[in-house]
Amino acid sequence: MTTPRNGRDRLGKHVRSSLTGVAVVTPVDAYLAEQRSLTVVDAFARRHDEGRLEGRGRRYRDLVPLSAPGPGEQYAFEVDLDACSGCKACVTACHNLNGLDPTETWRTVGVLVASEEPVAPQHVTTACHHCLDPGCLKGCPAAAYEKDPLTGIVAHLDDQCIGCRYCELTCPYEVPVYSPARGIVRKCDLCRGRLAQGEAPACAQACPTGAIRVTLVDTTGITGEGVLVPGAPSSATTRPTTVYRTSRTLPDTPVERWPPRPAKPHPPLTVMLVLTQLAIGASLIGTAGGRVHTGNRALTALLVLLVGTIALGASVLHLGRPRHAWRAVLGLRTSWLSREILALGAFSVATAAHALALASDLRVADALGTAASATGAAAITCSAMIYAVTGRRWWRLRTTLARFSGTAVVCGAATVLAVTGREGLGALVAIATAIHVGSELLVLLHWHAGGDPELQRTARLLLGELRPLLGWRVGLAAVGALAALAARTGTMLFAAPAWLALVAGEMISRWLFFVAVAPARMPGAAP
Amino acid sequence: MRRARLRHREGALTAELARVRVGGGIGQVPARLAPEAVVPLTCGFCSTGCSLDAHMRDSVAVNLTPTPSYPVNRGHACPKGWAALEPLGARDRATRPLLRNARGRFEPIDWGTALRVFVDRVRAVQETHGPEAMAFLSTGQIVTEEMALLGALAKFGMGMMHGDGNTRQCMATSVVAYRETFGFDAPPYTYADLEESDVVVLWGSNLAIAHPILWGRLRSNRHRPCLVVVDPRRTETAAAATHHLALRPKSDLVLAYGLAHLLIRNGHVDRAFVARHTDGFEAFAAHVERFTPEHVAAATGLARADLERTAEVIGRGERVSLWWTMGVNQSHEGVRTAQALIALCLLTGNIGRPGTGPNSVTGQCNAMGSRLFANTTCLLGGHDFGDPAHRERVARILGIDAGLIPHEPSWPYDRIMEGIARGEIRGLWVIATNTAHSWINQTDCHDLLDRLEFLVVQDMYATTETARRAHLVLPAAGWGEKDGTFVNSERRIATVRKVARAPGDALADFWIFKAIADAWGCGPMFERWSSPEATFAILRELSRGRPCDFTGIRDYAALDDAGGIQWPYPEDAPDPRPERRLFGDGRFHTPDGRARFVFGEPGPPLETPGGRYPFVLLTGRGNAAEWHTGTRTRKSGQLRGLSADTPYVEVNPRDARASGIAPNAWVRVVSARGSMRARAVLTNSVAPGQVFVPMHHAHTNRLTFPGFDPHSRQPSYKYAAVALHPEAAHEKDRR
Repeated sequence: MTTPRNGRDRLGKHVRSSLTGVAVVTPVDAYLAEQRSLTVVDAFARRHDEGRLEGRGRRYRDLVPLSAPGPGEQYAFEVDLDACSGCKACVTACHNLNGLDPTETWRTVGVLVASEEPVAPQHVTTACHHCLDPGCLKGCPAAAYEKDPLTGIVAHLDDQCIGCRYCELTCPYEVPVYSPARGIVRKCDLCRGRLAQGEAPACAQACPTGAIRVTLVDTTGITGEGVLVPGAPSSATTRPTTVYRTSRTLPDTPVERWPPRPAKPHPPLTVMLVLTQLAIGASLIGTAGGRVHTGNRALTALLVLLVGTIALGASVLHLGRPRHAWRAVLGLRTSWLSREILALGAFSVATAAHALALASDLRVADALGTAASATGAAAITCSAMIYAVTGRRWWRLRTTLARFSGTAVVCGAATVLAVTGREGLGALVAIATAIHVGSELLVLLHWHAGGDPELQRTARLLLGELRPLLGWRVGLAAVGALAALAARTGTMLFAAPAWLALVAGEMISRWLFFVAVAPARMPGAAP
Repeated sequence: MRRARLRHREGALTAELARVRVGGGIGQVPARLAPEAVVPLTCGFCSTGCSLDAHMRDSVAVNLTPTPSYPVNRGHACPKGWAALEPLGARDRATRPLLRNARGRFEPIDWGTALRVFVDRVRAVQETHGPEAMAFLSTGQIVTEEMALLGALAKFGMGMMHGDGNTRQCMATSVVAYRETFGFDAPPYTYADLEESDVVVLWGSNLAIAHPILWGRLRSNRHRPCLVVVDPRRTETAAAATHHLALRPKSDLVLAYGLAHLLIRNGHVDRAFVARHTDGFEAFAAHVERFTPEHVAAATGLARADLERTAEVIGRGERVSLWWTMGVNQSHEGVRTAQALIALCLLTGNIGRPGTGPNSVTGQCNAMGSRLFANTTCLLGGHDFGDPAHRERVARILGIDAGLIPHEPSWPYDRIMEGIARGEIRGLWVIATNTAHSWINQTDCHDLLDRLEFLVVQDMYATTETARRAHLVLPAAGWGEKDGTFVNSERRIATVRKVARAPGDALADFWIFKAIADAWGCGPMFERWSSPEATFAILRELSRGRPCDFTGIRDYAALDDAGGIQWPYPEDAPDPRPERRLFGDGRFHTPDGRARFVFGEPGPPLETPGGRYPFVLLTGRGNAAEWHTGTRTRKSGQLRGLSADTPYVEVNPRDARASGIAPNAWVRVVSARGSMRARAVLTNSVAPGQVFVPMHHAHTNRLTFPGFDPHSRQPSYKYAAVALHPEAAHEKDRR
């Protein structure tokens, strides 16, 4: 151990502790030296191998099951809501005992209040629910999650993660936490290493009222009916295993610790989605018309390839660990993200081949064009599924597929119009834009209370804080559609501005797609 | 299995979260933070006095867990305790003395200059306006040794007359209540009483949130106690009650007298105890005669049946304990209310036995230390400034001239503030408290602070609301960066240890006081106060023969070995039991050994809602992760994440509807003294006509009404008249 005593202090002056009795410069220097000496370990520390284990040994045993899970069973958190007083020691204990980052938390505590009945507030502590049908695991394209067949614990493999952050969307409980410094997410593993040694998880051992324990649950009994607590996401999406017990009537309204705010934007995903959809739409529309000059078609195909590459580049760059991007196909069995990547890859290959065939005037060109269109359509479906499986109402399959296809048609047609000036496309662009934007705006009908609360929140966000963006979105679409109509009359001058306005409008639309989603959440979820 | 090879289960990222098992009851910890040794120290937030194990690597604390075998917290801590190391590393720590220059900016200076400026300007104030024109405001957050040194230095060394602490804001009421009834400020309980009672009454206490560890101990009571909660709000604590009395705010005194009336009427008086050990019962009984259930029900808004039932529960209880906190203390008639609760215990004989007692749960980690050794209201060691024998004795122990000791106690906090207004106080030295945030009627407070000729703030951070107004900032080392002792609510003396390096030139308050003594020229007076532990020996001597006698405590090591020691612990008869309560023999500290019944006439709160300000404003703790003005808790990422990031006001949904306030809407809360913006949280935990704002928000005290208990001078933070104004659309945009 080193101490600054009899040494040189930070300022380089010779200082001596008053305790050493050696002359010092001034009394303050002595006090500073005394302040800087750290001797507590020598003087007072109890060595940690001293026997002090009995104090908490009992608590460990009380809070974990006596036996390992049998067939059809798994470990689960059990929370006694009657005992949870909302002190939040569980959150900080998890932090210290698991060595998390300064603002990283694997557990949160929220509060439900009663809006009508005279019922006291109810705090709800929540962490990973170690679901039977884990959204994180199914969504992960890199196979970075595993559900232990014996214990049922859903664990994240930190070194496998590529940092795509898709699990943040597929987990309805917002459990995985992204670490920008590491480029990966991390999450609760039910302290499996502790359980293996008969020690209770950090949160359970820290609860002053013993409200959290680990229990064994019969997995056949977990059918995914209802919600964990009022206001929480539907349990049908992932079948969470946490058991919340209460003898009281729970209050009905989760307090938003933060006022409703737009969700996180995803700029790389926004760009990626619009550009891939543009490319696919252009490919589809560009190859559909047989009468068009081959050179134009080749140009279109090349352009498509270029845009598609930029889009894929954007999607790789948004990864936390881009050099491991190749792992993104490992989740093919369950992850729509893997499937999307594969479909987009196939689309790129087909488009490249198509362009080559057109340039070389090969006979297979038309067949390759069809292949490109087919893989493109598959890619758009996969993209839509990525969001549909999250269980969020505004992202459900029907509307998302319509939205993405609409973008493909509008942007694709505008691109082909700009490149080829093909007759009749201007009208198609204008009509498609009108239908596309019109159907997007339908969500605003949910503004009034009484309907779907998620869609109501989305509508209110769009008409509230996001209204300027929505205005731009509609305005740009209108300008683009009008310019496209003008382009039809032969003045090609309008085709480029039409393209710019429409693509910009779609970018804003996709931005809103991410920020205006307002899913049901566990009480106390971070913003 | 082919997939298995493509999966990386190990690597640098996985290793970051790897854990290893260590001994000492700690279990698994992050491998990279595995301790080489463990040092226990008492938590520096609230008065519960939990012990925390600092995990040491290279002589510095790197992590922290609650001490498993400690008699107070038994391996538990609230979030503030778990996160206690984090605020030490905040980027805005004060690392050098700061002097405001001619352009109004802070300029870093060295300690030599800082001490010269301090001495010159304090002397200038004292020479121009008299020695009493310089005052100090201290704290319940520093160790006892530092409090005592400050009190002795300021009064005996520098000739100051007036000093008080932020403890005035939290426990002055209990001090006076105990002193007048027991003859000494002696909270009689030990925490085990929470586990021994069959009836627990929590009066004006949201124990679950304010003292989570004590709540945990109450929840582990095996006698399935009846839990009576007296609180106008339906708090987390009230939710767990068997009987919740949601009385009209500040009708506590009437309710207590009403319960006394019923207990006497129903024959629940312990005649033998009252006759042998108390004085004044007959007068008290006559006084509560007219507090009939009808009268009390009308005044408190409670149902008669609830009053009868509560009196029955208390009357029939074998071991009844009454616990109170700020709901009683922060009141226009807090002292009389606390004394009424004490009277309830005295007349039913619920004192001195396990599971009984009128028990004040204190606020700050060392409020109890300041009660004995701050040298403000009482002379060091619980002595009396007015008693010549006491002055003589203290002077002899300290080796000073008794003539240096003032004959009167200091002015209380509010009188010091008033002194600024009147020009009697011209300079103020603020130590480890945040007056500009926490003092009642904030707008006025800011005006007063800005009038000072010299404001010195000694704090860990130069960024507190008060430090930002200072002329001179002295950088202090904080909890965990120095040695000393705290005294917790149950009178347990325990150590804090230096387990972290203070940043830059920051010095422990102890060394700052020593340096000031040297610079002032009274250094020799404090030669024997050479270290915190040497000072502890002096304090021990001061306690000799007093009710708080702890002469049996050899040194800090003895405290560590015992897991803290409750006073009294006299040298000649030390009682080694880890949990002890007072008055088992029925002997109190009054001259005749009898406890007094003290009572008075209830009156209305000092401000009445109605007209332009129709709502009653209640204030209190928001949640367990926040502490007072947030000076430290806001520096912790974890604790910030557990607290609201926007100010909020709890409003009953019925009132919200009537006022046109939507959930989460911004509103303006307005009193006759100021206003604040807040988000409306609609909840039934506040009754119609009442709103609640947590005290932690920087602007809450713009609203509070500067009323005080006449006996304790404690501010009545929990009652003011306010209005709610939904915010207009154009105001929203300004956000």
